[in-house]
Amino acid sequence: MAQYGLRISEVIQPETIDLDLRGIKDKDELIHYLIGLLFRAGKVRSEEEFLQAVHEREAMGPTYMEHSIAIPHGKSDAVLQAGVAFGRSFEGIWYETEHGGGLAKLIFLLAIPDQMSPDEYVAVLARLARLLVHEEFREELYASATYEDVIDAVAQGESLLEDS
Amino acid sequence: MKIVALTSCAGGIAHTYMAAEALQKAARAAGDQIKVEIQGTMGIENELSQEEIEGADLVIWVADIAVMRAERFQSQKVIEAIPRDAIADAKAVLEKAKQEAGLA
Repeated sequence: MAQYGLRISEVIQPETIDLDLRGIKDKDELIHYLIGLLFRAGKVRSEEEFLQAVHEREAMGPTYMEHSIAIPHGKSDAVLQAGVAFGRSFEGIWYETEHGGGLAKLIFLLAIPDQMSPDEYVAVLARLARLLVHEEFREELYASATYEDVIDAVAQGESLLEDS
Repeated sequence: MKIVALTSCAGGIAHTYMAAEALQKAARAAGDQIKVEIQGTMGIENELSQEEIEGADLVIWVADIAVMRAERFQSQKVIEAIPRDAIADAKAVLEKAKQEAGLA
């Protein structure tokens, strides 16, 4: 596989993780909340503008990925720096899609700067998506108690990838 | 068994890669050889050669949009599946494909 210019573990920050999402009743609130984490971490300039980019992407096809995973994402000039917000909900949050959706428990929201090359952008998403196929990785994410645990899970998960 | 597959989805990113990874994992677990071509936003990755396609026991398209360069597969029976199913249960997709191809 290609070299990855951007590592997931480098773009997830302590302030963009919430391992115990509570009081969020639907997908809109969920995305709003995760965008707020990115905004407060200085990753996006405008919550509204980035939200629009995420909605545009959602309209292209579902980002609910089976196994209780959702990977909403958006590429926008409102993104100052590539970032990933990760939210975990043990009871799950209903994630509506054109295929009916599912209960999302592991949610990764990716913020991609407009000037980032398509290849780099796709590589980050692809790597995360491929990691999430592995049950061992998902279990590590469910078992993570701290930010460091999540980063360790991502770093170790890379050895699970079929092509690496 | 030698399997070749290709994955492709409307968004061209996440489902395509997840389905490819899931198929590789399931094939390896079943003791099969597999090569998966990815047709995504970056174009064709890990492209299947004519030889590889013709030498395969089983050919699977896991796509919910039109396949690029489909003419390469003319001489082969192609089993079709959808990315969501491959992500949810790649093992079942492979088993079903083998049955449909009369290999199981």
